[in-house]
Amino acid sequence: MSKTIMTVDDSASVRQMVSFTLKGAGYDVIEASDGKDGLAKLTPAVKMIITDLNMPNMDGIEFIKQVRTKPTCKFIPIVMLTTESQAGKKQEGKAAGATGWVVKPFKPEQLLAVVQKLLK
Amino acid sequence: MCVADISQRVCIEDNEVSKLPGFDSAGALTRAVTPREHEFLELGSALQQSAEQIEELMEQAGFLVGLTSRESLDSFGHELSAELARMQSLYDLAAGAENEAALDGILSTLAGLTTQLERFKRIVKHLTMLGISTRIESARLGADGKGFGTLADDVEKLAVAIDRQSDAIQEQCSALDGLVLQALEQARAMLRTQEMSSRQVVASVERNVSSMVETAEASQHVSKAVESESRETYRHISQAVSSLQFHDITRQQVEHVEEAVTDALALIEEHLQHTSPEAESDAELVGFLYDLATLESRQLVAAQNRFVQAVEDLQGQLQGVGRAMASLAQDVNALGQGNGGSGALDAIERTIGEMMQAMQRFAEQGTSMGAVMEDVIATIAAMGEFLEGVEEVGASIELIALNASVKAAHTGEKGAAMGVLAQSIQTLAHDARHETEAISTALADIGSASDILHKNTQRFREGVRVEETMDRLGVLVNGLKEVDAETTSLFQEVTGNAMAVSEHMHALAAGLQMHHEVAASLSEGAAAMDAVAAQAATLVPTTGERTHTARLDQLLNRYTMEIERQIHMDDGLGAEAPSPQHALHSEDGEEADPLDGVEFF
Repeated sequence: MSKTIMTVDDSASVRQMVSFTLKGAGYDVIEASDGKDGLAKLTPAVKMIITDLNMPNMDGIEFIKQVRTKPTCKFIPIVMLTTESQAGKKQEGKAAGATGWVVKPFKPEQLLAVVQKLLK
Repeated sequence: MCVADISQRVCIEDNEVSKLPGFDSAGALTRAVTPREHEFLELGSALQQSAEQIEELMEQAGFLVGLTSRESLDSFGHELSAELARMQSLYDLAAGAENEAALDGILSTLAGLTTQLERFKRIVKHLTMLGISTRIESARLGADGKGFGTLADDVEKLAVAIDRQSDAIQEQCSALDGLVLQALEQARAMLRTQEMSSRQVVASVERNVSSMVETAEASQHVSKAVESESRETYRHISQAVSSLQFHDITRQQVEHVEEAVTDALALIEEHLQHTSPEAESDAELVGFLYDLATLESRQLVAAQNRFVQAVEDLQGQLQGVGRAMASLAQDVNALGQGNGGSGALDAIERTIGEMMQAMQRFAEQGTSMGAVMEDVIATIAAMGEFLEGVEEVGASIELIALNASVKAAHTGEKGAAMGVLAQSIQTLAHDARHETEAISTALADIGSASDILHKNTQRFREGVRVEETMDRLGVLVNGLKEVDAETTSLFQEVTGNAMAVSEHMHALAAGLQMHHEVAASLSEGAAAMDAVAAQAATLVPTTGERTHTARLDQLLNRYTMEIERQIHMDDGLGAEAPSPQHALHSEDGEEADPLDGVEFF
């Protein structure tokens, strides 16, 4: 059975490319347009989250904090996929509970390597 | 000089600003970029669909290459060689050469037998004459020659018996001669047919093997080409995925510029209304506006350049996929025609067809041959019945000779002439014995040859399963026909679909024009910023140094991207080239770690 990954980004074109990459490798993908949408769509079936940082309604940091409060999601890998590369922001992400950080634009091989490493 | 004057002259009041082309506080710049997302989404969908088609095409191409690989064709080659060997062993079972030799032997024996029967006839004549002479002498001797009358009777009877036997044997010999000639002709025809078909099939198989070797070599070449085209295609698709993210990246860059300009407009308003928390002079504010406009112009130029580069790269990547697919179509098409693909299968089908025809002829000839052999064997069996009669003749002659000698001895001097007759009879008896032995031997030889023919005919009937061979070959050729039809269809499908994908990719690339429109809008925005900076500079000449570090630091903190920070920190010599993304391949061609640049916590 294939694993389910959630992608959260306010950019439809980025969500499209993340889905394309992951579905091509056999994963199921749930898309959300911001943190609030992501929380609404989150289910125990989701094994990993890839989220943007700067989003309307609920940004990535707040979203991660909310996700980590859910018992079934305490330990699932959450990777930030963002244009942000400042050390301070990365620390913020780490403190919120992020597992990893990828700077846009990603390459499919890179994203898949991250997923394969974290979903072993 | 007040900011109100300055603001009028530099047109940086909100209402003046709104008159600058494409620049207002309502997000004119992002309106140049954001609505273009649907074009990126359409391109993304097209890329996804094409990627699915390409994956299927690669699988199909791989299958076709596998079908014509050395391993696959070797199995056909082994199958053909095995069928050839089975065909040869069936020919051996027919024992054509052995039958020919046996039939030849029978003919020779029959020729000899005819001579022997002629000699037997002459013995009969002599015996008849001796019988007459004996009767005459017996009459002359009167009472003394009484026993010789019986002898004469015996001799006459024997002569008749021999005559009858000889005639019967001669008749059978004539019949057998005709049958053997017919059988020999058929046996030789069968041998000739077998030799010819063997040569043809062997030559055909050799041609097939040679053709298959060529096909396998072509297939290996195409296999490498397909592998290369596959790598190339997926590399381009991977890079296209990166390029398609630049709508989001550019949108963010432009949003940051707009936020900075919006904040600046608010700052001006506060200054004009004297509501600013910071006490600063008009000149200081204008100086800051100069720095801001200069920086944001360079941000816009950088965003424009990166966006244009990304879309041009995307065009290149789509064209790259198009080229790879065109190459794939060409390679698969070449494999499917000429010596490759269905050409090799066609040749194998023809060879199997030749084998089936050879087997059919073999079966027909064998059946006909079998019928003739049955007649030959039956005729020889009938002749065998004479063997006993001939041996009895020989024994009778011996007795008569003995009888004649005894009677001659009893007659004494009066029967001297009888003695001579008796001697003659003995000599004849000796000759006749010799001939009967020769005839017995000939009949026995013919019988032995018949045994060989019988054994071979039986073995052919029981061991030669031409129907099984035909069934097996039929299954093989039907299977090949199915594979041939499927592969011919698949070759055409793959070639056609690959070309269609290629054309689609090239059309998508050619249709990409929106980057020029976006670039024009961003360029207008940068020009507006430059105009603001120029006007600010005329009012408050600058030294080129940044003097509003606190506000500029706030601006720096707004940026999310390294490129934005680099431009901000630059000494003003021009827009920075985009910072290179980490390369997946290092310069020496080795693959970089895909996890380079990723941070794990």
